[in-house]
Amino acid sequence: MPDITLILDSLWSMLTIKHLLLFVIGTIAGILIGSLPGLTTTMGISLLISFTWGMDWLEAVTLIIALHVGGTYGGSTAAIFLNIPGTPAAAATALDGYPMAQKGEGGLARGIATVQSFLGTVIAAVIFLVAAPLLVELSMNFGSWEYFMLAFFGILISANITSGSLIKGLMAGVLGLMLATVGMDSITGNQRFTFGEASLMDGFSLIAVLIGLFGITEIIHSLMELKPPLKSKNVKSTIPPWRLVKKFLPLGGRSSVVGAFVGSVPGVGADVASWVSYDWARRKSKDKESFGKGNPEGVVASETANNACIPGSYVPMLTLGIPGDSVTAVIMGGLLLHGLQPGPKLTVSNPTIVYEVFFILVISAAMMLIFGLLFTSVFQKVLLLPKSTVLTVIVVISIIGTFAVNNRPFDILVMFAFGIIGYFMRMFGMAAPPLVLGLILGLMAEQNFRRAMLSADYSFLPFVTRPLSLLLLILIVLVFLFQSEKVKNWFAAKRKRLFGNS
Amino acid sequence: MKKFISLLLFILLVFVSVACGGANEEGEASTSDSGENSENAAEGYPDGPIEIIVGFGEGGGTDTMARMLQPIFQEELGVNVAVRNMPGASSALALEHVAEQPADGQTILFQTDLLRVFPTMGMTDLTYKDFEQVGVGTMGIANFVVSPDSELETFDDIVSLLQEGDATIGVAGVGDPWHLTAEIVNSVVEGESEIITYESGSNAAMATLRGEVDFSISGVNEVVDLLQSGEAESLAVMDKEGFEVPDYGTIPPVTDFVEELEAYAPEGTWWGPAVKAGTPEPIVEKLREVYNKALQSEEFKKFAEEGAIVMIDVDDPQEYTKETTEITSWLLWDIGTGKRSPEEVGIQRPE
Repeated sequence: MPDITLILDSLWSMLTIKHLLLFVIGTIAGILIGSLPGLTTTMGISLLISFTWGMDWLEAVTLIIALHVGGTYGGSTAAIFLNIPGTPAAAATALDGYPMAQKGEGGLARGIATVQSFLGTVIAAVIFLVAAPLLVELSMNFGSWEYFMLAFFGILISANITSGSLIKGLMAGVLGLMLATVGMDSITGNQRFTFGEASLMDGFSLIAVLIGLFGITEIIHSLMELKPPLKSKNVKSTIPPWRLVKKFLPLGGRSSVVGAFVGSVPGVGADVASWVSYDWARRKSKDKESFGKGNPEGVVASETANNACIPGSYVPMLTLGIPGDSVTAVIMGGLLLHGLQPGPKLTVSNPTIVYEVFFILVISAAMMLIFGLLFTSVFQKVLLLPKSTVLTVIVVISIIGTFAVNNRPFDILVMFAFGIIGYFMRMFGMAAPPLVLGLILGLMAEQNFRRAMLSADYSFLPFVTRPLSLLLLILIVLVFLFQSEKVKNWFAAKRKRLFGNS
Repeated sequence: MKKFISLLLFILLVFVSVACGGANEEGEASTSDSGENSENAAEGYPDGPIEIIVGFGEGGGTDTMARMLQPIFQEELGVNVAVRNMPGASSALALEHVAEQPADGQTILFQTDLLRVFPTMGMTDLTYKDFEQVGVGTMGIANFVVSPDSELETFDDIVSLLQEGDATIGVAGVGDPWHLTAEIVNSVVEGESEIITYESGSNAAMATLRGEVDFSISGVNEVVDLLQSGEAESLAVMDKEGFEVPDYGTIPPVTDFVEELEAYAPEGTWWGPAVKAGTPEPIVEKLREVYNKALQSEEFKKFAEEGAIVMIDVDDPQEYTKETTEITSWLLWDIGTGKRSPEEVGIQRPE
């Protein structure tokens, strides 16, 4: 436990005009990006990172987190008013948000989404504050074996969940793994698949790949089907009455825990968190029938969980250096850029970072609450911007941003190449996140596997004799067994026999 | 069909923009050649803003140090001095960039000890001959890190473990100063060991604390926080004299235990500015003067002390880069780690 004055100092340093301005900019930019269908938080953050150049790390982290919080919430606007989720994380919000809007309760739905996003972030931030130091303690015992298992688990589960078809997800994941082998191997110093190109010696620039896959792909996709601007009625947010907030408090609390937990599992992100929470709320509800027909509880469950996912996903990212989803992968890239090496050692070199991140989360959530309730009509107007304007701006930012990271024209080529790859992947129904996680975690899995083999004299035994490693192995096997239809059917039959047909 | 055409146009745009990028680069290179033989530049130096090229990303040790020097250079030279990061290929891309610029001292390379491994590891064909080393003033000294509850209590224990032949050592990467240190000690004490790489010296130290390796070798500067928090212990520094770490104590030198190591000390990662070979001597002298002044400044001394970085005194920096390149690249080639014979890029075997 670091000195309490140090913690207060870090809070104090965030309360300067300049710093607060960063919160405002980050949150508003996030809400805008989140509101626009097609612009995802991942893309927003990857573009932003190259512009945090020259800032000190705390400022950069503030801007990034504020954008993350704002963006995740911003997705709800289009989901409620247009039935198009602004970001994938808001997909479950549309199920009940849009019917509410049609019933003329759009303002209320928006208000509930705002308040719940705030609550979700804050409750999960508290969970983060408790869980992160505990995981740091545990991670001190994580060896190469455990890191390999975690990375492996992350790749498998992301392939499993983020894309509709397991096979296509795995294909994307394997593609990522293959791409991860490009560059100089850090264990032997051999060059692999660089074909003599010096710019490839460090592998593909992660930021270039991300901007390509999430930015350029989206632009090509939009070019292919340029639609006229969408129309939506201008509705102000209604500040939900206290009675309602109080009524939703237990559900909100539960959804926050679900969101934070799902977020902390490597390989799954906010979109999964909101679906899991939504599904759970529906099954627990006394009024199951009205779900999907405009039940505010659906909005509560989804919006609380997707924001609660944020602090949850920071736990493994900061303490283990394992990004849970593509957004945290980008954020991790940003931290590295500012000289912060996520992993167990981060809290040794920056003892107050957990508190700093906590304060940033809470202040960002507060900003989001204020802007969300006061300036809704402005954010709604953004939906009406002609897409061609927005897209042009994004292409320019993408190119500048990609170049700025390494000052390397080669990276721009990489970015466009991945934009095109991403477009074809989308055409074939392959999701991009498994590829990204394959690329990041692939290197981690490979190197830790080789280190594990080296330090145990090429014996596989430690994978099953080390308790944490064994636990992870069992988890991986279970997750996969439950994917199989046969196993599922067998369990269903068993349950039927035991409990009768209910 | 329309869609298909727009997709084609888009791909075309991509190639055109990339091709333009390439063309610009070549254009730059050709103008630089024409400016190279302007010997008179020495008098008017510096002529406009100066760039310090750092081969690593922002925020790392090399970058931080370059940024410490930047304001002092700016003040002393009286022109704008900017630090530019060009990470990639273990900083080889930065070397190549500087080698493409005119030899007029307007572009300074912030050189690191990686220069000496390129001839055999093959990231670039450039060697010390392509640069004029302005100075080598700072070093992150190699030290031997163990966990406080390790059975290894002194450097003597490390020597016996190496001689037994089944030690595992954590280092950052192949061919780095920590790996070299391990090989040097092995050759002197006739030991053997398994090297495991962990990407950075501090990660290697963390692996030691978890018990994955017997001990690790890293720069003192990389583990200073672990030493101060009591999580790690350092048994010796690869130097002729002990090194005092604030709030920790003095780390004894390896020469206290094995005298023969004196010839190889100090060993570690070093930093210092360099310019392209062929830069007029007066310009190099001017920069040398400014660099030494910067090293003597209070700010820099404080920075070095806090970061556990050692100030070293190298009389002839160019000769130093020559000697260390010859010794190191041949050592790596001889033990089978090197990827090509140093002879291929004209590095002779040291006598």
